[in-house]
Amino acid sequence: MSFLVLHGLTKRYGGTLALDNVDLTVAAGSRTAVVGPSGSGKTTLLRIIAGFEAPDRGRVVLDGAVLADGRTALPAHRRGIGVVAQDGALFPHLTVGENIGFGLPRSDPGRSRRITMLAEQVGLDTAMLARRPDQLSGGQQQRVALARALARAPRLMLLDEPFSALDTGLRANMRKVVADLMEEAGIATVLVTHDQTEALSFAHQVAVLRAGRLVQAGEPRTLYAHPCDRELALFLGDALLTDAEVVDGIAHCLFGIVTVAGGSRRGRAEIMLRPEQVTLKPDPAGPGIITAVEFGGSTCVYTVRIDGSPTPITIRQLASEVLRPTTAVRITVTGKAHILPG
Amino acid sequence: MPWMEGAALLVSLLALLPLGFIAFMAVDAGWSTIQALVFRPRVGELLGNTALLILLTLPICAILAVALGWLTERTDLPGARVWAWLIVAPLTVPAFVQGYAWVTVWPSLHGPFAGVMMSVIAYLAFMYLPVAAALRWLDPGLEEVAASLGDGPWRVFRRVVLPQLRLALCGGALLVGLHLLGEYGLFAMIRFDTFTTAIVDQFQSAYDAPAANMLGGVLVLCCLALLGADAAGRGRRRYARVGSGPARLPPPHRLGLWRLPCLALLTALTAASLGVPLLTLARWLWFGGVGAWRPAELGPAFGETVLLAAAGGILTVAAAAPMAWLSIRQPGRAQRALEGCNYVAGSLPGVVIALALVTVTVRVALPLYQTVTTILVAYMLLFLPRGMLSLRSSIAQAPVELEQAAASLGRPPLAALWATTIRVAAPGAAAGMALVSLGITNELTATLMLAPNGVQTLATMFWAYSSEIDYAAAAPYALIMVLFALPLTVLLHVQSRRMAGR
Amino acid sequence: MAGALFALSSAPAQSAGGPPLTLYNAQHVALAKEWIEGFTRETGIAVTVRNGDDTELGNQILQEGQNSPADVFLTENSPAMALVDNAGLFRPLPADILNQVEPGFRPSSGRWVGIAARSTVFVYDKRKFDPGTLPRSIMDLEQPAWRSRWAASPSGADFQAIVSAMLELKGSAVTLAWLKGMKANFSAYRGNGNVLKAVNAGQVEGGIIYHYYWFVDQAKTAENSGNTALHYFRHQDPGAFVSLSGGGVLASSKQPDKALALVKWISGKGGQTVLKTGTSYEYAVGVGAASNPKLVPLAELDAPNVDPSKLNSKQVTDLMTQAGLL
Repeated sequence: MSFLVLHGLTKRYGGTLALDNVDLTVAAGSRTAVVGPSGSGKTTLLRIIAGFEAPDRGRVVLDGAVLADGRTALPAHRRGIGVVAQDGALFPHLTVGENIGFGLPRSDPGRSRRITMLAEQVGLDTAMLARRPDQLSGGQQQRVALARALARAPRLMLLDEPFSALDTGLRANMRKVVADLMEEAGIATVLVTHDQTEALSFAHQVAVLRAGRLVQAGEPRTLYAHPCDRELALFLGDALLTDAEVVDGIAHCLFGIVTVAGGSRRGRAEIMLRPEQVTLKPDPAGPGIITAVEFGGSTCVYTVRIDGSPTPITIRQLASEVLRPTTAVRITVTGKAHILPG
Repeated sequence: MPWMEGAALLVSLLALLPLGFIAFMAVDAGWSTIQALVFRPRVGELLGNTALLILLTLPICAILAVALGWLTERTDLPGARVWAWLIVAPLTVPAFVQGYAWVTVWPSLHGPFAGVMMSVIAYLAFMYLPVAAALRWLDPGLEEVAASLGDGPWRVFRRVVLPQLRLALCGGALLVGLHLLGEYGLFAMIRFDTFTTAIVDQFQSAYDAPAANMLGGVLVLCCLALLGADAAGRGRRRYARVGSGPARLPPPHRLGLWRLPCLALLTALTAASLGVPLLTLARWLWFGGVGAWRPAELGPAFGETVLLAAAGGILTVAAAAPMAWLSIRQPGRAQRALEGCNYVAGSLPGVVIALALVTVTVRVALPLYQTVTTILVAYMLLFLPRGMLSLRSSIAQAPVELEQAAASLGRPPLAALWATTIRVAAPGAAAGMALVSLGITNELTATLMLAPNGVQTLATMFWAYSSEIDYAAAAPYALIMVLFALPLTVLLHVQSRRMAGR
Repeated sequence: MAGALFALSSAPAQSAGGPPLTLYNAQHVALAKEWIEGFTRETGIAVTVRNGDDTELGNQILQEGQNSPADVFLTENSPAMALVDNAGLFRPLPADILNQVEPGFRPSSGRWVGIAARSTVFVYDKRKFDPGTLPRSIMDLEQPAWRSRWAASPSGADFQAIVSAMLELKGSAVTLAWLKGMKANFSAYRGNGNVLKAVNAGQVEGGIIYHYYWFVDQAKTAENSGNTALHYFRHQDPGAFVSLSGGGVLASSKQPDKALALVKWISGKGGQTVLKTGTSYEYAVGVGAASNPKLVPLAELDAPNVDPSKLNSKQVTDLMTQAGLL
């Protein structure tokens, strides 16, 4: 069931087209990540859904009701949509508690109890409630922003790069907290991010924007394994790209013979493998020679020169066994390669 | 650098002189004299006038400043940039010239209503500048979040925007309030009696008589009350932007049908604050013709004003430098207390400082009596805060690491200071000097009371002629003062925009 | 710039034979300028001027005492002269200076001399008064019938001189009561010119000023006096007081000869002719000196007889402070 429907959204700022005919649907209670480089229009998309901006053309429909259609737009304060901004956007003149309770009616007798509950829900020490926002760490600020948005039990939650200012470890942790909270509350969520790992790990659906256009949308695994073009393939993670000759679902390439997905295509094509599909094995008779090793903790990046290829390739491997330079290696592939269109 | 601390201490002690003088005079006069001179109906009358003036002017200025700031910074008002300039431009017109202009077109203008109206016209820009800067600096994301939490535009304004303007409003209100307490020429023109006009009257009737000093004491108490109210209004709250995201330019609010009434309001305000003085001035200049430009008087007045303004600007910034340096590089409790002294002195009206210096020099330091030195010291005390604020922000832009880098490259301490901090702070210091010079050019009361024999400034010449209702002869002086102030006002406006980050 | 500042502190520096004379001038700036220009032209002696109000400068000289930089003091009215004289700070004037002036226009002490005179008048809006309804005496103006009908400039030395005459003629109790009545009745303006202007503009029916403000304006464009006329109280009423402007030489003057020359010039033929022919419209007081023919002759004013050296400015400001006027 489509809870949020975006249809043909177009937005122009002066001479630049920020959004170009974007269609996207979000299922009730699901999590969607909108990902793309900066300037791709993802924040504009979010702001249009929130009601901070109106689209030039196209419609925003939430739960069957039209919120904006290019002529009129329901103002943000009547939409019942929660927003968590990149830097939290906490009100500096209010305490943490007042921030969380901002959207709750003052007359509500259960107000302060609800504030405490919300703080606990997002994992915030209730001793913080009397503090000022600038006395909190970045992670705590984001929790306050989340609690504040949750307070009004929104129909839809919009997250605008809420984790980007946090340290790497804290980031993953917060992502999990937010995902669990939304799951529990059954709130449909749209996350905007430029971080593909974040998008892939957080969402049920990933939508990729580039220069205002929706490039591809789908389940994370589908996008990862079957990106629609070379650029997206590289954007979503490490990728080994090579030319191949495809015949009857089989590709002949640098790595030998590899099966490909969707075997209707024939002839020359570029195929993509993800590093986890590739294994290097020491083999004196192997076609490759390791020319450089870069140790990175849990993984190692090897530069390998392969017979018959003018340029070396780099392959990331788990560092369970570290190979030395000059080692001759054989390359084995598991799973199917993906043929890039074009 | 101990000499830095010594110099800062010296300036601060000097800054306390007027306060000490008033206290000494009160003790010296004795309780019965205080009773006779302070607890009398006339003082009550003046207190009522002053309270009325402040309590009406400040809220009106605040409301207008917020409305105008909002219109010029946050809406699709046509020509918003131009309007912003037009709102600030009246700063080029000294308050007493405003009074002169308005009395010309509206001769019966007088009393509390006139006092409030003229104060709003003359001082609104002081409130507008910080409020507009704050509005420009506010994170529009906060307003959007508030809307997403269910607040309509008015509630967002009341709950999110207004509280964040509090510091700007407090600062602006303090500045305007202190100007109101110290203003003489404007209120004398429109026959509205405040403590300052009453003190000048007493001074002109009986020189430094106890009655003037006692009124000065009450005026000082009013200033301190204003400072206290400001401190209480600011509270201990901080409004630092949380997080590090760059502030976006907010999408402008659509005025729609409100566009015409808003333009009408702005046009009316500009006509009142800029149109009336400029047209009146043009009219008097036309009437006076070439004959009103008497080079034998204009020349010396112009030259003396330039000299006093330049020397005063340099002296004030030099005097402010040690404390400004300490406040950035070695802040501490004692330093803050001393710095506070400078601001308190700077908040006192010119009439009180002049009264103190007249009495002290004539009784104790006779060689300094009626000298250029004394009037320069008065200017320094009056405008110390202006110099201090400009210097502080520019010294803050020169991190100590620069000096250390210079030292590590082989420069001895003073040379390192010269090559780095002083170079970086120079533009700020120059701006501070310009601000002080502008203040001196338009200063009236202290100059009237302290000017050395034979010295006339543009302001005192203007005052002498307009007091004899020779408005045509006064016009050239007013014109020169306005032209003087023009570049400085431009500087002020540009600086306030830059400080806001755009 | 240091050099320029030094020059500033001693301006104007150049003068024939020694430093310039320092004049504390409470007279009208324009009149003083005419006098000084004439004096300097004749004698080559330069004069530095400090302008101020009568009592301001008088009290300032008292404060400065023996250290006063002033050589000569000129006022618009007598009380400030009396103030300085009573403090013993004036040098006695030689007979040749005193005798230049009519006996009635110099104090009994002989330590200062009259240089000009001005008459108290009631200026009124011609459109609002019939001749019969004008006040008989200045003393009437404290009556409730005059509430909100008249104006004055209480902070000025001119008005304070009129009050000092009233004090001398009627005593302190009557004067204080009158001042209190005035506080309730009058509108305060700053400066006689502004009083005249307000009456002319119809803001107030009448005002107490000196005569020459009206004549000066009439001689120019009459734009501030066209609707007004002057009423002289006469009958030796306190309101008919003729105030004497004075000039004196400070005992502390380092250049007494030049200072005496200035006072002699002003009270003599040169200075008095300026009064007749110039734009000041003040009365001349020299022996045989004629005033401007447009003025009502002094002799016809029937002024009260007041010894100028007895006028007490200190008590006047105290009484006015008590009455809440200052």
